[in-house]
Amino acid sequence: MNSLIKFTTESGSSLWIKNLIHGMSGLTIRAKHAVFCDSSPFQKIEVFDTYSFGMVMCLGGTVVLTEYDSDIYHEMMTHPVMLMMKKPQRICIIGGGDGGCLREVLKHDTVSSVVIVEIDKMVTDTVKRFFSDLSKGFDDPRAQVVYDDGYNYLKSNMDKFDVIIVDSYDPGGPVGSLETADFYSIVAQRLADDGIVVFQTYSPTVNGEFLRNTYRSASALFQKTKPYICSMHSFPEGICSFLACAKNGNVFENFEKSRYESIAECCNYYNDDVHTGAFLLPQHIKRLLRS
Amino acid sequence: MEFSKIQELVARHGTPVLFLSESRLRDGYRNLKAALPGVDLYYAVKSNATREIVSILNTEDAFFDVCTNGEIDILKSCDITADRCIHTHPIKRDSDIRYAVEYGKPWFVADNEDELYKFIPYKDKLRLLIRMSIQNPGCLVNLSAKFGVVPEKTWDLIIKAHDLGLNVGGISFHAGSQNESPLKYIEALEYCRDICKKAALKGINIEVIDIGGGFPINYLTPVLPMAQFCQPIVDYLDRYFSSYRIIAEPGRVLSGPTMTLATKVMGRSLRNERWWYYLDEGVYGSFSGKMYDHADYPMFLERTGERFNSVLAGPTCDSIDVLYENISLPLLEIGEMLIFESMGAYTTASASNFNGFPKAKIVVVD
Repeated sequence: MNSLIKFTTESGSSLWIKNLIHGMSGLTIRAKHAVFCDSSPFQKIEVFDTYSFGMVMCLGGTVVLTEYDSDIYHEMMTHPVMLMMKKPQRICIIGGGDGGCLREVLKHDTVSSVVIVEIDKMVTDTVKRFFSDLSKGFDDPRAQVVYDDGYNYLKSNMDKFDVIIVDSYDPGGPVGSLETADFYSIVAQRLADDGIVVFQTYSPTVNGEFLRNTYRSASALFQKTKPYICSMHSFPEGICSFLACAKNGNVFENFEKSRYESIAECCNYYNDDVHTGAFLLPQHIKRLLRS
Repeated sequence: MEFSKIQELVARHGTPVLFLSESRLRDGYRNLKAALPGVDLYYAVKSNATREIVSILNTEDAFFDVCTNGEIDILKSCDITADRCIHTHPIKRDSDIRYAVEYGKPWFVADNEDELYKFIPYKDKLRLLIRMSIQNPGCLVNLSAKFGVVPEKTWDLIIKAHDLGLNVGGISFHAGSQNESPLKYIEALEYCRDICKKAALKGINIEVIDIGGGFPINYLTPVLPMAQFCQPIVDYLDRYFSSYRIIAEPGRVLSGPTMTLATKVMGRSLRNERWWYYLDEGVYGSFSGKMYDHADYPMFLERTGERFNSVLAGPTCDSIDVLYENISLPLLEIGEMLIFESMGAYTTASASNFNGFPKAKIVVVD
């Protein structure tokens, strides 16, 4: 789907990163040079220094992280659900080996422990090397990293969590097991009664089917599910969707105004207006979810 | 090849005769190598075990896929060492394993638990590929009907082998034969990814992914150019398998186009208003591929003119020895020559000398 192209131009670097949708349209980013390229048993990992997006990481040829707009993604993946909960303490992040979601949840001082279950250690090592600002949460004593398949971990570990964040990067990513109905049910079992789980559900336009399927599977397991969206410059579709799910639907009515103030201070994108707006869905997404 | 050139060679060598084109073999190998960059190609000797083919591919630095002691002997006769071969027969006797182990420290293939126990006495002297079956009823020959463990059980077999102390180093699959599209390879690779993920988490070192063969060639129906056919496979391998050694077992795609058959009309008879032509080569000879390999070969003749409903039959006394019924041909004379192309794979390899008709002579040409 995505690949790198090299061609000669009159001046400057000739290296372009292509992030394409079904090979038909997409986003191209001009890179100064590649700074890292290696392969783990799971995927190919590349990092480029680019002109307009800063450092960019590609996994299996897909752009998954840019210095320029990763804040938007990680803030939106975490703060809306963290601030709907009264006192989120025990957090589990499935995937998220880049440390972005970890950094954001650690901004909430209610948090007592965060478990990150990342399958690919090389991703974490690479991010620590090239995205130092993003990965600073790994040094926090509340953080614990487990290198395992998220499905295996939740299945074999009986701990309950207040918030579970499923931060996988791509429907074709390394962990196919995170897209099965069985996985959603295991997640539901590990969630505290008043907890919230949030899934990244990719683009609601290009991967609409994925959002709808997740919505359906989750609706059968949780009392209430709430999709929300944000715009993402480095997604070739420009838009990213999330699905928050709770066993007790009342939690979605809550907003922790008192805790919000300190969080907003250290955010680049998220604020209370964005919070409200994110849950306002355009007609085509509402229609998709009803279908 | 030019018709006149063939005629000249036939005058010297007689018919039936198979012309092995060295340049086509080299071009075919280089073409596939370019279409699958970074993939080590193990020529499937079974498709055509002619010593000259093995020997020419050896000078191209090819690797070899063998299944039997006899095929190992061919490699030995070409001074090819065991480190350049894999043994891919899923079912072996102890003597077969011993013979291959004495040849060198090869890779073997297994697809069931009983086979694993056979390796225990040799466990420090070999490495294993576990063969997964990929169902492909649509292809020319469904190679997963007889061998291979279903994808859902492949991981269990790897664990079993690992627990027995065997050195499991890879996964192999056969997406079919003469495939029309690369999608089956991608499907198989998706299963491999899942297995590799589990292996990496458990600390089992999977190093090799063997994508098998099945690359198509032109018979009567033209197929995708090789580079285009392979591109999606190459892209997928680059995304997720760049830390693995990738190997393939091409047979037909290398040997198939290299041989041209020249055969002559031995006799003819007008029976029930159809012209029957009896050729000096039939299904017990190089056309054995029509029976076993379900292949149809492009035919060329020099003569033009009014056409008649005709039958082409082989020379033996068996009535099954018929090549084409109800084909429209000009009136052929006794002694007239017919040329068949793409006659290299699974032709002479499965030919016999039934009825006292010797196998077609093989002549190497440029």
